[in-house]
Amino acid sequence: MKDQKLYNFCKQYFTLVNATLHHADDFALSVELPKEVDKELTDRPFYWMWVETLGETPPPNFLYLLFDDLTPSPEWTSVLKDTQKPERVLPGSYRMQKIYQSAKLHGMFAVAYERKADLWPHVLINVKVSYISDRQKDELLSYLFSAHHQTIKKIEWNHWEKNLLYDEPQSGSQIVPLPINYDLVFSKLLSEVTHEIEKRDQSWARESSQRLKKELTELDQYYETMENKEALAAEQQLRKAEITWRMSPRVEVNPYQLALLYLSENT
Amino acid sequence: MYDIQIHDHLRTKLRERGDAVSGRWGLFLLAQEAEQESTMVSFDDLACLKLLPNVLPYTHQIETAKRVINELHGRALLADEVGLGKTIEAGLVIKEYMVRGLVKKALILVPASLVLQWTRELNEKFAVNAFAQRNEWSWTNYDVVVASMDTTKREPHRTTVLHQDYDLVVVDEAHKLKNNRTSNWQLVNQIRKKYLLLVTATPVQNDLKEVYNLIHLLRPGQLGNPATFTSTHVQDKRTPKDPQALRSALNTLMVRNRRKESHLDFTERHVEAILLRLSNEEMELYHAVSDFIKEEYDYRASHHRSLLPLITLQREICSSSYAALPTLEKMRKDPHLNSIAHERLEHIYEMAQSVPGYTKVNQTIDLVKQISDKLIVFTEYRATQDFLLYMLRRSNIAAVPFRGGFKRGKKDWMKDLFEHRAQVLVATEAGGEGINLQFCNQVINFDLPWNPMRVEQRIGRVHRLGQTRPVYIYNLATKETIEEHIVQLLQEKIQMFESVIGELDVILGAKAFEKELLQTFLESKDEEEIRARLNVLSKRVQRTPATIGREREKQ
Repeated sequence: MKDQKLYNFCKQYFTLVNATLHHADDFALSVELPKEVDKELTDRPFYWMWVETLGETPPPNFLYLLFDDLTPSPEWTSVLKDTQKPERVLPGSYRMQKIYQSAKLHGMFAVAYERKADLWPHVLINVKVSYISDRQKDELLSYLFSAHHQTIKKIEWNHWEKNLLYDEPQSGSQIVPLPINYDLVFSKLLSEVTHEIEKRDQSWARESSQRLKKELTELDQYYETMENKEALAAEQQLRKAEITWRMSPRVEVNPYQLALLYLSENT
Repeated sequence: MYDIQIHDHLRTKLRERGDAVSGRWGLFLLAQEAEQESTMVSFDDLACLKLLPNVLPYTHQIETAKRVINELHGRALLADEVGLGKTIEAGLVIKEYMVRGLVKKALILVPASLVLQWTRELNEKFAVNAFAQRNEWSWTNYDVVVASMDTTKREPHRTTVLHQDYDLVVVDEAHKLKNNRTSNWQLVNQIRKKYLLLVTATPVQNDLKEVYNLIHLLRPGQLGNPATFTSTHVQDKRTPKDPQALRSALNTLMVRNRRKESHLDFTERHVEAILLRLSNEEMELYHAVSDFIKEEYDYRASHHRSLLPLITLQREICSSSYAALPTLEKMRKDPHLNSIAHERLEHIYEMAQSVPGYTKVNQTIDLVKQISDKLIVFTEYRATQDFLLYMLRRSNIAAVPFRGGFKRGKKDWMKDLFEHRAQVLVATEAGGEGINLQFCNQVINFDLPWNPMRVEQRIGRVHRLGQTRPVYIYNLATKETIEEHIVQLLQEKIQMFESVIGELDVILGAKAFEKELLQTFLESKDEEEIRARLNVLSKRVQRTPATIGREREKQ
C-alpha cells in the first residue's frame, strides 16, 4: 500500500527545495536534485571534495523513490541511467532520515504574512523539551512573541491557523515597523519554558532520583563488605560514575525553529 | 531535583545571520512535521518499531526490548534459549536508544565469526550505521563499532577503548565472561559504559558462580558478595539452594524466554538415528583402542593422572580413525608411558593407519547424494573434517569447510560459498556458534558432542526463527560402540531435541556430564550395567529445576 504521508512529505519537500520532478508512477517520485540538496541527501563527501577541488561540474543526480512495494513500470524507469536504481522509501530508511534532516535544516527560519490590512511583527519559536534519565521523552512547545506588547505566550501548534500565512504580504498591507531585540525574546522564552516545565508531572524525575540514590547506596554497601576494598576502589568509582551518568534526571530545552511573522493585532 | 540544560544552537545561527530572518513558510511547516516525526511522546513506547525498514519483530522480542529499557533500566542479561532471536532483541534496544538520542557511541563485542553478520544485520534490519572494526582508528572514527572480543582486548586497541566513554556496550556470546579472572571479563568490567547488554543462551554452564560473574558486570552486589551469594544461593556448584529465590534475584537483571513458552511457530524437527555396522577392521581397531583406554583409565585413576586424553581418544575413535591419529601420536610420545603401553599404542597406531574402508564416511556420502539438498555435516574434529572434505570432493560433491580458527572474512566467504555454490558445509563445533544458516534445513551429526547443550547449539544454526521448512537431523551412530549409547541417551532419553534443553544448563554442567559418561562406560562391567547407569543419569537430568523446587517444598 502506498505510504501517502511520506509521499506527500517528499513531494512537497522536493518542490520547495527547487528539485525538478519528472514523470513517474503514481507511487513514485522521479527527482533531479540540485547540487546542494544532492550533498545533503547522499553520503559521498569525498566525491564532492574531489569534484570541487578539480572545479568540475558534475552531471545532475537523479533519484527514483518508491512509496509502495509495487514494481516500477518500465515506461518511466527505462529513461533512468544504470546507476539510478529505483529505491524504496520507508519511515526508518536512510534516505528518509536524510530528507528529514535536510528539511529541518532548510526550515529553521522563515518569514510569513497574514492576508490582512495592518500587520504587526511577531516572533514564533518552536522548542523541543526532552525529559531524560535512563529513559527519555519529548514535548514540542510553541511560543509567540509580540513586538508590539513585548510579551510572549504559549500557543497550541495543532490548533493554530498556520495555513493562513504566506511567503508574501497581500498588496496594500501596512506593516507596522517595530524593532525586535532577539536577546530579549530568547530570555523571555526560556523563562516561560522553565515555568511550563515546572507545571509538568515531576514523578519521572522523582522516581529516577530515588532509584539513583538507592543504587548508589547499595553499591557502597556492597563494596564495604568486600575484603579487598582498596583494590576495588577504582571499580567502585567507575560504577558510581556510570550509575550517575545513566540515571541522573535532567531536562534539555532546545529551541529549534524561529519565524518572523506579520500578523494582525487580534491573531 | 534535576538540571535544566539550554541549547543555544538556534540563537547562535540567528546571530550568524546578523539577526536577519528569512526563509520560506512552507519549508518551516515541513521542518516542524519532520521534528514531530522524531519526537518521542511517551517514556514507555518502543518508538523504533515504525522505523525498522527490514524486520518485523515477534511479540516476545518487542516485550523483551521494552522490559530491558523500562524495567531493567538498560543493564541486562538477555538469556533467551537458542533460536528465539536474541540478536533482534539487542538490535531493538540499540535502535530504540539511538532514536531517542540516549545512545550515540556504541560498542558491540562479538566472536570474530559474527562481526560481519552483526554489522550487516544492524545496517540492513535496523538502519543503524554500524561499522566492522578494521584498525586502530575505527574506535574513534565511528560511533557504532562491531568488533571481536579477541581483537579488542589486545593492545593498542584495549587502551584506546578504555579511554573512551560508551553509551552502550553489547557483548554477544557473553558466556565467555563467566570467569572474572579472564582478560575478557576484565576488559568489559573496565570499559566505561552507561548501558550494558550481555547476550547468551547459556548463562550457567558448569558453576553457579558463572552467573554471579555476569551479574557483577551489570550491577555489583545484586547477588550479594561472593560469600553471601554462596551461603544464600549455592547448594553445590551446580545446584541452587532455592531455585525460586535465585530466579527472583536474577529477574531484576535477566530476561529469559523459552521456546516452549514463546508460542512461536517453529517448523517441525525430525530426528533420526542412523545405525551403522563397522567393518571388521574398524571394529578391531575400536576394540583395541577401547581396551587400551580401559586399562589406562584404571592406572591413571589410581595414580591421580589426567583422564582428559582418554576422554578425547574415546570420543575421537567414535568419530573416525583419522580423528584419533593426532592424539595417538601425542600419547606415543608421552615419556610417562611404560614400555608395554607404548608397544600397544604403536600397534594401535599402525592399525589406524591401515584401515581399508570408512563405513561412516561412505554412509555420509550416500546420505548427501540421497538428500540432494544443502546440508551441514558437523564433526568435533579437524582431522575428520579434512578427511570428509577430501572424500566428498572425490565424489564430486561441492563442499566447503567452516571452523572457529578461520579469520572473519574467510568465515563470511565460506558461508556465502555454501549459500550460493556448494551443497555441503563441513563444520567443526567451534564454527557453529552464532552463525545463522536458515537457508539450509538438513543436518548430519557425523559424531555427537557428549554435551546436550552443544548439540542444541549445532541444530540451532538451522532450526531457529526464520526457518521456513521442517528441519531434518541425522545422527550417525556405529552399532556396538559407545556411540550407540550416546545417541540413544541424547536423542531419546534426555529428549534434548524437545524443549527440556533450556533447563539442563542449570542442573548439570558440560564437563561434569562428559566425565560422568566416561566413568559409566569404563567402570561398567557389561552392556547391562551401562544401560542401567545411563538410565539413572537420564532420569536425574529429567528432573527440571521446577520439579526440584517442588520436591523441596514437599520436604
